[in-house]
Formats: sequence, C-alpha cells, structure tokens
Amino acid sequence: MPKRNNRAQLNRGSWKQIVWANEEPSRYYYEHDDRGSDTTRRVSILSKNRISKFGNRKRDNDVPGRGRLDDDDVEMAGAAFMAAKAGRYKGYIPKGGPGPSRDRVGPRNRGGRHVQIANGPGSSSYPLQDADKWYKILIPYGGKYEKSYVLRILLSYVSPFVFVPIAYRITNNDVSFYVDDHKAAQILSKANKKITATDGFKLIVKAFPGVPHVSVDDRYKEKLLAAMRGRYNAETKALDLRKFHTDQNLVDDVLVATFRPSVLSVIVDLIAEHIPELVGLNLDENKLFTLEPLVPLAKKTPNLSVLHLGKNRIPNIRRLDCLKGLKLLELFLDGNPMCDKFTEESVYVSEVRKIFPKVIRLDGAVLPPPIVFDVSEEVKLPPYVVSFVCSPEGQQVAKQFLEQYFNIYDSDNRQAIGDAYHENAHFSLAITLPKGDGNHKLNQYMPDNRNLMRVRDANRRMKLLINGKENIISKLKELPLTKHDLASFTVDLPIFNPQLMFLNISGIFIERKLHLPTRYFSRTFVIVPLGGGFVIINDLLNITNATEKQAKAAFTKPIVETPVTSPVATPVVSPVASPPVATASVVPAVPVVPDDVKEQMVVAMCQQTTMNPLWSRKCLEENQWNFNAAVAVFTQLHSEQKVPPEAFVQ
Amino acid sequence: MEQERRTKVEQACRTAEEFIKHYYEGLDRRRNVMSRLYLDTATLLWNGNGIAGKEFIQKFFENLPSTDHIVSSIDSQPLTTGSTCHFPLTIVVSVSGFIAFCQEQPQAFQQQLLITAEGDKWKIVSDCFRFQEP
Repeated sequence: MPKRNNRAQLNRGSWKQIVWANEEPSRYYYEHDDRGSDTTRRVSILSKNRISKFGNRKRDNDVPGRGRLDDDDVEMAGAAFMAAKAGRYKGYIPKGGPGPSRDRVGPRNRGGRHVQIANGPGSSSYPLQDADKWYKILIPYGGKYEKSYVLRILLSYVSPFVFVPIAYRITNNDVSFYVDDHKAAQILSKANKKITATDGFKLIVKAFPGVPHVSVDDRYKEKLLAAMRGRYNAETKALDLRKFHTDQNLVDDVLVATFRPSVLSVIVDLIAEHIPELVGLNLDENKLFTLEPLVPLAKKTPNLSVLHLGKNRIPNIRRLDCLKGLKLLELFLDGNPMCDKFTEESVYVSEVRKIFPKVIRLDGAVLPPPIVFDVSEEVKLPPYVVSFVCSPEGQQVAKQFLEQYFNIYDSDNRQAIGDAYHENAHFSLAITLPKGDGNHKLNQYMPDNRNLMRVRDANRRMKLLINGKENIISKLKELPLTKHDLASFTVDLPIFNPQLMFLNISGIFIERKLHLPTRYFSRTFVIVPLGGGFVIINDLLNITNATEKQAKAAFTKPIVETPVTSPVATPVVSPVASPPVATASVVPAVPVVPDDVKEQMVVAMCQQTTMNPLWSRKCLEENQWNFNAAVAVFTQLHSEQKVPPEAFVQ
Repeated sequence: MEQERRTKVEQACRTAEEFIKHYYEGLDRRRNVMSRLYLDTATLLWNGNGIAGKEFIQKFFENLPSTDHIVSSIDSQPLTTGSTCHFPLTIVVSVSGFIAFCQEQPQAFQQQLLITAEGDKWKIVSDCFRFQEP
C-alpha cells in the first residue's frame, strides 16, 4: 500500500476528520502510520483503487465512495475487496457519521473537483461499471443558457433515451445536476462537445459519480411531506414511494436521496407522525442499501403488512434482520443483489420466512402456508365499546347527572356543585404522570395528589382526602376552570340499584384560559339515593395528559354523539341544553323500553349467558327488561344448575 | 366519630394497596385464581364489554392474551355516609397504569374497583377497566 502516496492525497485536516469521526481518536490517530487499523486500510484501498481504475488524478470530494462504504465494495476487487469487507462496519461510521462537512446544501465547490472521469470525449469505454450509483453531470459555462434550453438540447441529443435531472443548479456559471443511473451518465458523457449551442459554443458535458448533499430542515420536511401526501392512498392506506427521488414535485429543488439513512429516517419520521395507520409501503427502485432507518416502523406503524423493496441494492438477506419486528404479510424483494445469492427458491423462501414468518406473498407469488406450532399468541382483544350502562333507567339518570354536573363544573363558579354531594362525601385527586414526559405541566395539581404509591404518610393521606360537602366545594373551586369534551366521554355504569350507583367516566378536558397540555381524566362516582334524588358519596378523580392522538381529536366531534350508548342503551337523544339544576333533584323517569333496544338486549344477553335467543328473551321479560337483574338471576340459577339444558340449544 | 372515619380511611388505603398487588399478580401470573377475588354475582366491564358472574369473568380472563401490568397510581376511599347509613364494609379503588399484551408496547389504562368484605374475605363487587386510548 502506497504510504507516501496516501499521505500526499489526504491532507492532515481531512485525515483527522476521519479519525475523529471514529470516536476513538487516540487509537486511530496513532495507528495511522502502521496501517494496522481498519480505517487506515480502507482509505488506502480506496486511493489505490482509484488510481488503478481512473488513472492518476486528485481526490474528488463528490465521489460517492467518500460518502458511503457500500460503493467501495463494488469498486474494490480481489484481496483488497476482502480486506475492506473485514472492516466494513467500522468503516461505515466515519462516512455517514458526524463528519463535519456532510449534509450540506448543494454540491461543494472545491478545487480539484472538476475532474472528468470518462476517458475522454466520446469515449466508448466508459470506465464506471456500477449501474446503481448516482452521477453528477457537470456542464461548465452552462449557466449562461436557460435551464429549459439546456435540458431540451440534452434530451433531444440522447433521445429516445430519457433521463430525469435531479437538483438542477447553477454554481459559478457552471450547471450541475444529478442522474440516478449509470446508463444516463454514460449517454450524457457522450454528448460532450457534440452539441453546438445557439451561441456557437460546443457544450462540454462531464459525468462522474456524485452523491447529492442534503440538509434536512423544516422546509425540506414540508416539501417531502407534501410530496408524500400526493403519493398516499388514504383508501388503501398505501404510500407509494417508488423512485421517490425522481418525484416531479421534488427533483428541482429538494434532493430526495432516499438511500441516505438521514433522508430515509426523515421519511420514516414523517410516516410515524402523519400516517401511523399505514398498511402498505412501496420503496421499489430507491437504491436502498441499508434498511436500519426503517426499524422504527415496527412500532410506529403497527398495521404495516405490505412492504415493497424491489430493485434496490440490498446486498444480503441479513440486511433484513433489523426489520424483524414488522408483521409483514406481503414482501417484494426481487431485483436486489441479495436475491441472486440464492440458487434454490425454497432456501430463499425459508430464509425470508425466518425473518418474517407470516409472509404469504413473496415477490408477487403466493407461498404455501407455513406449518407452525399452535402456541403463538395472537393479541386478540374484545372490541372497544365506548359505554356500558347496565339498565335503561341507569342510562337516563347517568346522562342527566353528567350533563348537569359538568355544566356546573365547567362554569365560572362551581359553588352550585355542592348540591350534588352528600354532607359527608369524600373527594380525592390522584395524578398519573405521563410516561417519559418531563414536560407534563401537571405541577399545579401536585399538592393535592393523593396517589397512595407516593403519599405514604397516614396523616397526609387523611389530609388529602377531602371530607364533607363544604370542604369539597372549596377544593373544587380551587382547581383550575375547565372545559370538558362531552363527546369524548366514556361512561360505565356497572351498578345501578335502589341502594347504589357506581359510575365511572373518562374523557378529555382542558384548563380554560391556560395554555396547558390537553388533559385526560377518569372519574369514579359512588352515588346513593337521598330524598327524591341522588347524591355523591365518593368522588375519585384521576388526571393525566391526553395522548397526542387524543389531543388532536379533542373537541372535534359533534356533541350529538352522546357517549352514553351500550348494547342495552336507549337510542341516542340529542341533548338539550338544560339549565344548571341541582343534581339532588334528578328523579329517574320510569323507562319504556323501545322494541329495538329490547332486541339489542336479547343479543347482549345471548352473548353473556350463551343461552339461545328464546330463553334470553324470556329471562329479560321476566325481569322487566332490567338487564343487570336478568343476568344476576341467570347467574344465580345457573350456579344452582336450574337452567334447563334446552336454553342452551342454539 | 372522626376516629371511626380515620380507621375506615386507613383500612381502605391498606386494603387497596394489598388487594391491587394480589389482583395484578394474579392476572399476570396466576390467572386460574382470579375468580376467587370476585363475588359470585360480580360484574366486570372491560373496555365496555360487560361480563356478569365470577365464572364468566374467570373464563373471560383465561381467553385474554397474557398481560403485564405496571401500576402508576392508586387511590382509595371508604364508602361511608357517616352514622346515618350503614354499608357493609366497602371501599372504592381507582388505579391507573400501563398494560402490555404479549410483551407488546404497553398502553395506559384506568381501572376502578368496588371491593366489599364478604365474611373475612375482600371480594370485588364491580370491576371496571378501560384503555386510555381506544
């Protein structure tokens, strides 16, 4: 390895930069001269390689080998290739890593860069063999012509071949743009000095491997997002990013070098934020080499089941290992170098299935179903039902109670709320700190937080349990003014009987006049009859922050979707704004159960008791359509084995 | 009077803490004993799905994918209205935390329990569970 030559090519500064990026400065710095480290080896091979292949020329800053090791693999041969392989993972770090001069806007313009790689004008033996690279096309003095003119004469010269100019720029009167394949670069380089422009000059066209530089800022992200929106099919939940770097909306001014991990990561972040429901993702023909940036999709897009990675540069099936978390049903890999490494179809399929056991379509072909053990646990949960109310009367009372309660609670003066509480009622507040969010801004509630896991002292526990109507009123008046999103409420009323009502609600609220995160609460009321109405004897409030999704959806749904619905609920009635009436005056109306509700109750009864519809109906009728009572009677009789077997004949 | 309330409050706190421990340990590790924590006529509301009777509740849990719970907050109060009304010894417990199914991503949940003393055993009268986000 040409030690001296190497030193001549790399000045001290750039060498240091590579060493520094390895994050082991002392070791690599001092090992530089003994050629022992991987870094050293890699750089040496690279330079040697360039010399042998491209003749004696200076270092080119835009040669992609400087940016990605993957290109080295292709360029290097024989023993040098093997040596470089051994060091590839270490070698990768300095290049994609924090090298200070990476990720800038536009191509850098430094001395020694404008070197023609082709063997000369019209050379038929184009020396670059890698069809997968990007190439930079440079037209010195091209800046004096209109962009449309330059492109028109070039396209007409290469016709019928077509290329897409990416990131057309004029720098110091030179025109530069990128093309994404070898053939385009080859054909364009043949145009060198062949086209005479209107002013009589012959157009100089140079081509050499070049990677566009990308600076990821908000404007860039916005542009990407807009382009992604255009490629998203909301109906099928599929995002088509095939050949994304040639997107008509992006080629002019935003470089979407998708194969660069930093760019792909931004795309993945945008997906996670804006389309978490994504089911299908097409990344065909993006020159992808490393798939690590896709890893977060396993968590961020749990429904992603179709992934197309065809015609990329994935060199080895092991590159897919990092995507193990994706629950793919359909995968497209054809057209990657990794596929050529399999001679047997069955081995290929089984290797893919080791990583994605559920894949049923691979490269468009339907696979025979795999034989598996019957132990894998599918997470199948019962459906989420917004409300459960045990009886129609309960439904009425709960609905009225909640409307009136939150009408007063959300008003400027909570004084009137006292009427809803028993003389000796209890109220307490517990705060659930959101996971991993230091900026929860729940501090104002902390002095009242009675979370028993934090408050260990018996006296303090006593003090934080507010007792008596008057004390509760003043405590509730102390808490920030609120506005609750009634449409977000879930209502569970598991017990509603003459002695007791157990009411659990949850939903979204905000603190009025304060710019604080949207909150989520759950609240438990134990309510007992008193006089002609009802009063609260226990009130347990739990407050935390709403999730991002909840915060976004807050106050967007119309209130007509009253939350009080259940298999046994009465039909939804648009709530009429009722004046704040003291809750104690609420008297339950005697309900008449409509027929359609009865049918719903029969269905619910069948589900719960496994009795057939006939017997379910009978049981409900005998219990005056009180669902809870009917279930209780059934449970009682069933435990005594008094339910006749024919009740279960379906 | 105040001393009696204090006793009840302290008992509610202690019972809640102990009970919650048994409850989630049972659900996460020993599902077969879950029905013992419920009254015969208990009700479970699980994300709005109603299940009545401890045998059905047991069956429901056995069909549920394996779980891991992390409790982040517990609060508890005794059911009492002073001297005028006598409940059987009953407490209400409110819990929040995170639940993960089959080692998947944990999600926030809220749960409220009404627990009563039946003889010398604490039993659930009503159990109400919900995810924070559907």
